[in-house]
Amino acid sequence: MELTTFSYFLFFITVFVAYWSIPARFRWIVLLLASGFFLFWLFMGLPIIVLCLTVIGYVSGLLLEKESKYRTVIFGISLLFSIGSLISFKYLNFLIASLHLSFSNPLAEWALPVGISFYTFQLVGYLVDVYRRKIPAEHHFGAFMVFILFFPKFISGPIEKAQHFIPQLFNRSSLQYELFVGGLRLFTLGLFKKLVVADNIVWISNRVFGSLTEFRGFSLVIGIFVYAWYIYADFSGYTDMARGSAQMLGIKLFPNFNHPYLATSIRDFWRRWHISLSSWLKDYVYIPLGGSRVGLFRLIFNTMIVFVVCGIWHGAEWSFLFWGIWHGFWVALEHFVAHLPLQKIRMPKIFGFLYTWTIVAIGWIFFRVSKFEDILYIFKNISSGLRHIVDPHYVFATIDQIVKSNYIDLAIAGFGLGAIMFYEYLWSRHYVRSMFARSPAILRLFVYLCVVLSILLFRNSHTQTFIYVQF
Amino acid sequence: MSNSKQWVSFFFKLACIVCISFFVMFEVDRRYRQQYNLPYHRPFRLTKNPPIEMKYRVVKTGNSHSGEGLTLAHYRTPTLDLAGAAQPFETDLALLKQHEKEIEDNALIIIPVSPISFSQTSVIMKRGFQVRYYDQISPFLLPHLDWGDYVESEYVPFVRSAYSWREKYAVEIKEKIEAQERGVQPSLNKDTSALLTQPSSPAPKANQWVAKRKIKVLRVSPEEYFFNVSAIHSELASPSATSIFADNSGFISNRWLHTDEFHPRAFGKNRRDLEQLLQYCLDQGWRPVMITIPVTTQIMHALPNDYAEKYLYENMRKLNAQGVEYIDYLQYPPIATNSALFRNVDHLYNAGPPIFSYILLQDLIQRGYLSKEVDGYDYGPLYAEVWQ
Repeated sequence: MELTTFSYFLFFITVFVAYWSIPARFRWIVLLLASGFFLFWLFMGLPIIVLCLTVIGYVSGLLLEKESKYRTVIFGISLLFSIGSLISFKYLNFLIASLHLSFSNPLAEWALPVGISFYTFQLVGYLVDVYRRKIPAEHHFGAFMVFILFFPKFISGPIEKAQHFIPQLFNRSSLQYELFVGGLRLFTLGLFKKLVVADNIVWISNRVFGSLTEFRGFSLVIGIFVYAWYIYADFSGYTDMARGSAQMLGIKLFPNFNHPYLATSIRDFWRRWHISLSSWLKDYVYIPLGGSRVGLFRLIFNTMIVFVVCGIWHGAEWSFLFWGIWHGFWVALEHFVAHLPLQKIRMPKIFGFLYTWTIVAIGWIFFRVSKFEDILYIFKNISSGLRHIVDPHYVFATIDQIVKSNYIDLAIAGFGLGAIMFYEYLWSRHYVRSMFARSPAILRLFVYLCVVLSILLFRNSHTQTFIYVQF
Repeated sequence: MSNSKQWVSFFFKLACIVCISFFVMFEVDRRYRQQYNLPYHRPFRLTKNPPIEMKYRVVKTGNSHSGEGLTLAHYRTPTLDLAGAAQPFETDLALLKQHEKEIEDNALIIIPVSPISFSQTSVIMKRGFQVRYYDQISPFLLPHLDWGDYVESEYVPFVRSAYSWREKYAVEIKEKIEAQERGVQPSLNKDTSALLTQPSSPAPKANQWVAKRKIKVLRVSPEEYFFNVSAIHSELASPSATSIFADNSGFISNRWLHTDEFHPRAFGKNRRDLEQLLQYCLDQGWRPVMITIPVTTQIMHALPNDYAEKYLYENMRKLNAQGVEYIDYLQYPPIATNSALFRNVDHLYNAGPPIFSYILLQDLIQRGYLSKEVDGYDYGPLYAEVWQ
């Protein structure tokens, strides 16, 4: 059951009504039952794995809270279970194939549990925090289960922290207008990003990357550019829907994005992209390694480690590892340049913006293409014929080669792309947001109507699974 | 503004948005249905199909490999075609349950097992593919039914008219372009039109029993022609080896190996589904037989050497076949090497399906599954010879 489906719509209305119509102290039970139902709907074999991990996490937390000489051993074992399950399901096949090991994977015929990377990281974060005595262990088993299984964030995050999430479960306030309307707005925006933008532009990048050898030059540039927006619209759309659903139930989740494509450096990009993952990596990998309070070479080493983990977290493929290293390299380079005893030159923002876009877009090639020869093909052919870009005939011919005369789909894709770029640029300005909030009600109503109608009229029959579900 | 006033204002705005949106969607739906002459229909098929007078004696299931590659048009017996593109075993089972009362005891059930049958994951069925079964299978029988999608499709269809319209437009554009391309470039395929002959004798009345499902993916209409057995033998004697599917080999092999639609992790589930399917057939007193439909040698060369072994034969060995026979035509030489009989690397086309169906029929007769009377092929002289 994906968040964009009519099933989810019916499911959520049921949960919403049940949640707000029972006494506040029992509301967590509704969330637990709803999350359990959601899980069973996803895949029958999955709940067993998640339940085992949840029980292990809960018991380990309680044991870690007590003074004991075995604390470190318990911590080690609990980490072994949680990270071990992630490795077994996600990386074992890859390791066996890469290291040419002779034994067969007993889990090869099991489906990869959906969202395993997200809830494993959440669990590991909780265990580390309890072990460090940063937070007390959660004694309420039901609340702990809701923390791990909460249905809006279960599939693709955001990666929550126990100290932020669990207290909200016991909030006794009634349904608040601002919170509800804000949640509904966020959900609708997410739906728009996914159904109108992501699903309507993805075919362009699929067409280019699906039969690479047909394309070169400007076609490849278009494919990469569209893919960059697709992945953003898809993932941020999911996050908005998850946050919107949670907010309508009175729970605020971490934001995951903050206009990442307006970043002016790669470090800035990572402060704006998948924020819950980058915060997790910062808190549980980067800082324990020494953070930035170390020498330059150690700093570069730490940065590379963080980005290697980040790359591998995304999937058991060499291309994800390259993607992590690619970003790590540029962040390390930025650290290096910042340490140089040079007089700081203020560069115009546009240069920083173009530099970031170029690096990030090249990074998406590793993310999208898994075969090494295909990556090589792109780098060899991307500049071919680009000198003709000023010739309108070349541009039209390139577009026509991609769209194959289906100008309706092209127009809708153009509308989707334009809408998200326009939104990203305008909505990052505070005065635009406040102007919109102060504008006449009829104008706002018209904007919302346009958004809803766009969703109904322009949604695509070939709804793609959210890209981050596979991670 | 007080809280209650805020809520009243909110619900008023929401009602406005919902009403205007529904009005617009109704109008879009009306125009769409008018253009394509698509009347509304009541949701139906909540129960199994009722019994019929002349029950089916041969039934075929399977995915597009059998949907396009096996035609029962010349089998002179009541036949039922239940194959569909990307159709997994569990849907085959649901379809058989749906038609259970229409199928005769002791009927022959042809269950095609293709190289991708065991590796097909459920991903493809989740991507809006189920909708084509809504008017064919009871929602209580359809596996993994997405009830929300079912309700939306059958009870509030107007909300999806815009994209259905777009889809139809996209198909029209695609067909137009393909037709243009065909007109400009001569096909690389060997001309097989000579093999498709007009009936030289009164048409055998095989077709009157062939039941067709409402929505079919089949592109070929072999029943428009009557295939001459002499032509089949002459074609089998001189297969033409060409390599016209080079691009398609790469695309298909990549799809079978590197996409989430096909993965070895689905082996176990699909084997269990096939076992259940066989068990169900045996429980009903039917006679199931498993076959593998030919694919080109080109696709097998594009795949790793052990692909067929790992993806098909190893699964067949692990399968609890319960005594059900398996006939393998995967690389049947006279067909697999003759690319003129294929639409692409893995789908028989044009003269391919009648030729393969003829070969299968002879095998089934020889093995005692069918009697000789079922053979409805044209044994007369070639039309061309008659003309001369």
